[in-house]
Amino acid sequence: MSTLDPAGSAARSIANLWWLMLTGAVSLFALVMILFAMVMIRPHWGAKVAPARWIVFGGLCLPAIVLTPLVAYALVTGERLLPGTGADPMRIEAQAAQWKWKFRYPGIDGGETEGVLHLPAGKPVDIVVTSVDVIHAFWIPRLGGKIDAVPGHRNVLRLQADVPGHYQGLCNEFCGIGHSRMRFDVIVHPAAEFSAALAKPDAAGKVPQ
Amino acid sequence: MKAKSQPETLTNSTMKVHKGQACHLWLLAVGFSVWACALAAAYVLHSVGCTFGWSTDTLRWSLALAILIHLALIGALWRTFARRFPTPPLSQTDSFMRWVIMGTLIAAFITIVFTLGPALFLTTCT
Amino acid sequence: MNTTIDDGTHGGSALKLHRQLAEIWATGPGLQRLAAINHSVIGVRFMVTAFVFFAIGGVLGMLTRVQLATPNATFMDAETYNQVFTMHGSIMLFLFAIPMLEGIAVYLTPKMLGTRDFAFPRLTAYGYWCYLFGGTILTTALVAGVAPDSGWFMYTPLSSNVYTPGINADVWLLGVTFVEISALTLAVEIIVSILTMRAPGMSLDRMPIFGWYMLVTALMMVVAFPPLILGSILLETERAFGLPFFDPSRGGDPLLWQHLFWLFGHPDVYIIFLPMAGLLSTMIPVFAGTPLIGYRAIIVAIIGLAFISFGIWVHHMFTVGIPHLALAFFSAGSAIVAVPTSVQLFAWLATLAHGRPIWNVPMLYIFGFFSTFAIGGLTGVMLAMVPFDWQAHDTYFVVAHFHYVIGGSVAFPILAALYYWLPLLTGRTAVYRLAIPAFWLIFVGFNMTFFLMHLAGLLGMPRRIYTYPAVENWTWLNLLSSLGGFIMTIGFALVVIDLIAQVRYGRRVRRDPWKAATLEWAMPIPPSPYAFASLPHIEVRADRIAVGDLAPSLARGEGYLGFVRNGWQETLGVHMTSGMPEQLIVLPRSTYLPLWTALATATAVLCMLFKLYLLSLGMVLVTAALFVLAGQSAGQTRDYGLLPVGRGLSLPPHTETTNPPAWWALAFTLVADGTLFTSLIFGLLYLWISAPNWPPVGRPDTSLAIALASVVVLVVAAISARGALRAVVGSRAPGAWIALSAAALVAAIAGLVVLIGNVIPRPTEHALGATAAAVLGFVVLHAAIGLLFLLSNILRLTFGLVSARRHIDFRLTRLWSDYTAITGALAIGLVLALPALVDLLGMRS
Repeated sequence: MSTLDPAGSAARSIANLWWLMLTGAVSLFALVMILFAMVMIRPHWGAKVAPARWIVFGGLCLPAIVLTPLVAYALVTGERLLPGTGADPMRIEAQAAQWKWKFRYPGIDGGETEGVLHLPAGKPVDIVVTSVDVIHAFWIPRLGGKIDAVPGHRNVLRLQADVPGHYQGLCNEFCGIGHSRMRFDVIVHPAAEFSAALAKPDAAGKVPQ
Repeated sequence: MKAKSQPETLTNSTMKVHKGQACHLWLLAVGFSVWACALAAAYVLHSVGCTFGWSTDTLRWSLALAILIHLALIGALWRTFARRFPTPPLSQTDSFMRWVIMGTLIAAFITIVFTLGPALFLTTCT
Repeated sequence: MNTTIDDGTHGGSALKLHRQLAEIWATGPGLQRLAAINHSVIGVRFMVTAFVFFAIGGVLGMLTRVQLATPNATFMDAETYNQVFTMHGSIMLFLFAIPMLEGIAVYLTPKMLGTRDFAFPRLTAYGYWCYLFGGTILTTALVAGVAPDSGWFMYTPLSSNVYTPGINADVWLLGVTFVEISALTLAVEIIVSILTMRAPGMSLDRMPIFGWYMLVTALMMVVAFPPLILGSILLETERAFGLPFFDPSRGGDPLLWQHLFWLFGHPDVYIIFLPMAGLLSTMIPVFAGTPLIGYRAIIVAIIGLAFISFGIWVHHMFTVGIPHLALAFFSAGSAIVAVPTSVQLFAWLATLAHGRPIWNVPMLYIFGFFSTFAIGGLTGVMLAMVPFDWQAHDTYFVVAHFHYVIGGSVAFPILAALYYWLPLLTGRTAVYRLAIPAFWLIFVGFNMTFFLMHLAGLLGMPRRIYTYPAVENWTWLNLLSSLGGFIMTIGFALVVIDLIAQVRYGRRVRRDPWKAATLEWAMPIPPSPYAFASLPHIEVRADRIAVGDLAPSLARGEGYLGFVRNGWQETLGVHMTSGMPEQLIVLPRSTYLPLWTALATATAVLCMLFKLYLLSLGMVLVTAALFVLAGQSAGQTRDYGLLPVGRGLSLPPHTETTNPPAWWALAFTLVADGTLFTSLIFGLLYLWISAPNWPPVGRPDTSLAIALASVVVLVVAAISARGALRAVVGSRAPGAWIALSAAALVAAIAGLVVLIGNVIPRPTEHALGATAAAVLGFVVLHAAIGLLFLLSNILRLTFGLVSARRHIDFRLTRLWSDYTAITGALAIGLVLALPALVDLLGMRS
């Protein structure tokens, strides 16, 4: 379930952003605490710097040089994660209800699965997330960010899994007493075998037609 | 910070003098009100544009125009206040008000650029 | 000596003056305590009650930690756990944090600003009782097992009557709104008091920095609470009467609730934080032994902070499906909001650097604040980055972040402030024996509990799950978190014991033990109910006052108002900016009226809760009547002209000025009301542009004739109110004007009720009809309140409270009528425009 152990391109670029921000945050925290210790322990040390300089350098310049590149980097990262770009990817419908997930695969002979999401490896997929009752959220931590399932709205999330394997997904928006157990399994198949695996009548989670 | 030895004698006339100066407290909020207005305008333009299917260019240029109008407004306010509060002679209260009003105007200008500027470069409706 | 006092002509011996003033200002013993309205008494009650709720909320927090300490725990079931975590959040935010800061403001602000009480002491008391009753309703529901269980932000449709059919959600909506309205009344009072009631000579640039923080905070409250109050009203009417504001199947949108909630919810974080920063900005210079550095920069920073905090509410909604470009506004805003906070942080560091800081117990807690606040601020910037939020949103990372920001950054400054100001409250200095181990227990426990939650979140643990399977690697993190929670709780228990020890056994002091330089110490401690025996004249920045020289001369009555007259509770009103004295304010004496009014309001809320709507309406009318009655006892039956106030100055009483505090109070109330109105209009337009199932089946159709006639009569009512005022000022009888105004308002109400009755589509069928009815209902309500204003005018005339100079009641009526006419015209115009808006939808892509 760890976001720090990414298995998809979206999760990886966000993990990179995290490690970058962690490095920055640790240095800034250290800076503030060292300054605090210094002004407490050596009163003369900080008095050499004029009051206005403290505020201009610390309060204005420091955040400016940290925040401007960070915001730019994060916005570029966000742009790259948006759905709807590139070649027309496969669409899978994820429908949330209290307290289960249903998945449909339009255009593939697989019909519908419940509690299990099948994905092809190495291919971008747009997940169309909807809800039939309250607000839920669709999240597979190792593959990428989350998106809310809001009744009356259709939200789209772009995901791409690197390699075949088993992952976990869950509902990440509080949705009543069944919230804690509203999880689903994710099975990533090799791209070539995806349609066939899904078409099998005994595919995991398959809802009989 | 002079400590007076005699208390100021207060008559109705001195009170009137004080009333005439720097009594417009709301000016402290003007700078960031312009920012709030700019944000609301940009957010509304974006929603309306995406809902009614404006072309990317139309949406982009209208956002740019909204931002520019508000920046220009702050510039105009700057000039007005610079004239209104003449550099000396100023009472302590006037110089304080001038400093804070100008400070909020500069801060609001930067905030508009920083918060709304990125909108000119991003994908519009996804 | 930097503050001058002349030889007061009225000055007697300090003790004699104390006895005379105490007799007028004191609250009676026994049951008469229920009639207390004095700010010192009510302030302490607020703080003590908030601490009790903090303890309750803390116990609930501990229960969640017990449940989560081990995987697959069966300590609580999901249903109980949902109530417990919902109430933990709701209590901590609505019943602890906000009331705590209000209590601090009520207790400290008048003393720091050099005045004897707040502008509306009865309103303070009413606010307190509302808070107490609202909080009691919520905790009673918890004990009865029907507490709210949809999370503290009550996302609908989960909180709608379909998915939460019981009383649980109603308890939240009504109880919290009740408390919010009390907070709103206090906010208006804080603003008006800070602006008009300071020590003479205290111009804005001389105001202690805490005054600025409270002024900005209270202004934020006035604008932040109305969206939530509106949202709660809409959701409650949806639950009770089926109006589909948030129901997507009938043209509503659950996301509207989120917008309204976070329009309140995000500024609320800063509303809680700013007073804490104000306390720090007051304490740090004292411990550094030097005046605060960057006074003006801090003021610019907090003005910026106040505004920006409103413009970043959407960062709570990064995952709801809003386009990336729009998210960018709020992401960049959430990043730049770090700048004003770092300005403050570095101003404090600079103050410490330029002084000779000393270590003591409050300073230790300030150190605790610096570390937790730095961490909370840094994770805040991380969460402001949209892609990272897509991963971290609604995980334990967020739980960790906001506990650092509104847990640590509130708890540590409050504890610092407690140790700093307790000598003022009790007249005793600290024992300190337990304070230091208590600090380390809290500090270590706090970080152990919440720091590990960052990691749990990154490892994929979502918030609000009542248990988790053993296979995850979350187990050890949760166990350690829970352990840390217990360590922290032991720390808080030690603090309580330490405080009780101080109150009972602390060493007595008579005067300022810290060598502070702000006015609250310029009085014998603990303070008398009148606070200052006479009021100082301020000629330096009011955080640089030689308290030791000033206090004895004030006690001898050598400042303003160092005498008693007519048994009046007197204080001075000043010009907003320059601080020059303008009026003599006579405050009301103790009364049970606030208690009765709050009881009537509480009964109205309870009747709503149990669906006794007619009875509820009756109690609302009783409440309104009590308010009108309260207004009657606040006047004078004769003109006094100029009255001497000491130091050779004479001023008119507030009843004979054009802009007494009441006028400003109504003006700021209308700011809040206007925000609510704007939120309602926003709601309608928001649904129009983004809710599903629009346009509705029936095309809206409003009778143009009735609509225009309603606007015309509203304008007539406003003009008549002006006529009545002019008549009073010209010493003529205003009766005919009042009658005309009343008739016009009744006609407007009738017209609007007809319009509401004919709204198409029906309000229960589609959100368009529901919002149109709500907009028109808003105007009806205001016209009805206008009738109450007219009633008050008539009563005042009857009791002889009105003269050519004493015409404030008519000025208030004029202001209200103008406002009603303007909002009425806007509302009716919007309803008339609805068909065109619906047609526009046909052009959607």
